[in-house]
Amino acid sequence: MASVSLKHIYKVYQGGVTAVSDFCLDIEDKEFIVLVGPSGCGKSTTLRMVAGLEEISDGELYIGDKLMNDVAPKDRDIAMVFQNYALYPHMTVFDNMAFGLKLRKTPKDEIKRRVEEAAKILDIAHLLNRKPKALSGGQRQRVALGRAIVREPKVFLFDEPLSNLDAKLRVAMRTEITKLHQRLQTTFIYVTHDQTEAMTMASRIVVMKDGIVQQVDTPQNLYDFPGNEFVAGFIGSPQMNFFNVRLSKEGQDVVATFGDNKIVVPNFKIAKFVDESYIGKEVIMGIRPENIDDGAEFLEKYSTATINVNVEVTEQMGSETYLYLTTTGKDGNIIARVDPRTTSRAGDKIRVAFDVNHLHFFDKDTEKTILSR
Amino acid sequence: MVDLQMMELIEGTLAKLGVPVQVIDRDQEAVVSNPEHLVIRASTALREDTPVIIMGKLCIRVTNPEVVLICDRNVPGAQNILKLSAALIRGLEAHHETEDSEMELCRHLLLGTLAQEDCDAVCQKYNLIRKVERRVLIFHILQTDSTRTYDMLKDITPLENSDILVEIDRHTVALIKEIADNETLDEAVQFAQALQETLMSETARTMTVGIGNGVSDLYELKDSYMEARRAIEVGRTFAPRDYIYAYSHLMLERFLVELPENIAESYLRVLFSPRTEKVLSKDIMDTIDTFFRKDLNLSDTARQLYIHRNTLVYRLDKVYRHTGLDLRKFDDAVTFRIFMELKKRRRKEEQER
Repeated sequence: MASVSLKHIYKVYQGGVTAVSDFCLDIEDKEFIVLVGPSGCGKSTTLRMVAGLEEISDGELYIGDKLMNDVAPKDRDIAMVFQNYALYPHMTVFDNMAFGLKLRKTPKDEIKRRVEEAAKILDIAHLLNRKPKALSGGQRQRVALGRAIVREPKVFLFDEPLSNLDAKLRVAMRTEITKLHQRLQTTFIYVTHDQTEAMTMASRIVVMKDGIVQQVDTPQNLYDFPGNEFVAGFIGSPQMNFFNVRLSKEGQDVVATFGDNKIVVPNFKIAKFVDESYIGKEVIMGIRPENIDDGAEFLEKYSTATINVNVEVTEQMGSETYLYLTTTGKDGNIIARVDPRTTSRAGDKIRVAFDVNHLHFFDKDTEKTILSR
Repeated sequence: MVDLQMMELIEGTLAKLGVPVQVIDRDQEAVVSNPEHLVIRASTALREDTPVIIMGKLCIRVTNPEVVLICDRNVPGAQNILKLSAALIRGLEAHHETEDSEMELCRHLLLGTLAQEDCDAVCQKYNLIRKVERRVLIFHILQTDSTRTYDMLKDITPLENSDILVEIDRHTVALIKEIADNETLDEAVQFAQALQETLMSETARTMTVGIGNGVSDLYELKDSYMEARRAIEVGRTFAPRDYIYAYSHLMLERFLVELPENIAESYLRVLFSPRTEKVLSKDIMDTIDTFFRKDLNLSDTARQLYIHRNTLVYRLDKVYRHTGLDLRKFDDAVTFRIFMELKKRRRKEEQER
């Protein structure tokens, strides 16, 4: 068990391409940290630098209180679980789990003890004599986890370990990994491009884009208080809707205008603006799909924040329905997550309302939030 | 002169057995730092099989490899210890030589420099079964230091009895792997992936792997070897970030590589013209790539790209308007995919120039 500290870490490739820039993060012992972001954002490169698979161009990496920059990967006391959960097909589960320890010349008795213990934790003790061919995808993934557990590392590193699994299994394995973290009480660093995985598993999430950390916070705080437009759009599925709006004063109210639509912004939101001078200017307004609804009660409750839309497509998900809507103006595409009993159908012209308590506002130039918490 | 690898093997083996014997190479000056050893090494009194006392030490000469073993004469049973150690070293050398010549033979087999009529004779000599299903995997690690790929892989590759690891050059190693009953190509890919992960964990390096098709005669291994090489060449052109390439998974790519450059270019100009250049930007090409990887599923693609479904539809409509290809239709998607791959080939060719 150990803390991990990344101090001003850079990764610059030959030719000057910067993959990671000034990455600073203190990961506490036993924390479950998830690095998330789109392809090419530098999350895997960061993990690989922690693992020792990539050289650190600048900055310092500590595991515990030991500087690790020049320590070989096998001596870092870490274990990595990769995307492919590749197992040697000709070896049994036991041998696959034991292989890394054999390479390290661990005594046989010790290997047996560790493999059996890990198998028990992962509930695969009954599979130890089987070959990978006779295992399901989920069982193979557990063996891959087992291979990491037997090394009894201080830090576990996961590089998109679930991305090759089908959707159902991915959900099941998410729970397994969370339980494993609770049981092992060890530091986990986990990389994924899937924000749902990040939200469901992490103690804290690091959102990255273009090699730069955008925000580090708990899942709920990222969702409720995104620091910029990118984080707001990246966290949450379907993603947040954005509109270029002009804020202006109309009598006592502040209204946000986009296309032919007007929304009255409640005073308590205005009070949270970091700078009142945004009134009278163009800003970016965001609202999550679940805060838009076509229900009669909702329309009545938020009667000062309704707009006319066309229903383009409806996607029924069972527990909810996604409405793909268009309205006037250049940001005319909207997604709403509504009650599955909605009567709205493709081709309908309807009215929807915005829950103004959950509006977000961002600076048009810096894209940073203009709301204080 | 004893090669360094052999010397390490001898010293390592004696150390493991806890034998109190020192080894000096009779021909290699550099390893002799002790002046006493210089005298012993040059002494004409040295005998093979019979320990003699020189400079107060009990010594024995071994001729193959050329080394002298030295033991303190006060060690109980020193004479027998030296004789046993000498026998052990001769055995190690014989084994080492067999391994070396077997590797040399396999190298000839893979490179196609062994005559077919010699095949039976060498099979007999090295106890190899000629008619067995085997395939060749090539592992390539481009090192900038003096490490040999073979040295990196020999200790971490879990070999089965009949597998043979062959050093091709400093960067390249070939594995001749017997194919078990019902074993599929996917299992060979999995083996390569597992080895790749082991290599990364142990040495922090990555390798490129080419996998040839199975052949049933030892003599045909050269074909499997050439396929594995070709898989790496073609794979690097079309999917440089994949690292593991199986020859038979690259049908379309191999076909496109065979296409003469001028013909490929004339087809490419049809789609990638100055007129379409602006539309087919990197963003749009990434969108199309994701759309193909999501099996032309609009919702999945939109979710993966974090864009509105309508935005995706708009982008695909735009591509349709400018290229005449509606990527939501299978036939048009196939056509576009082929052109995309051709474009990758051109990019690679431009880089090489």
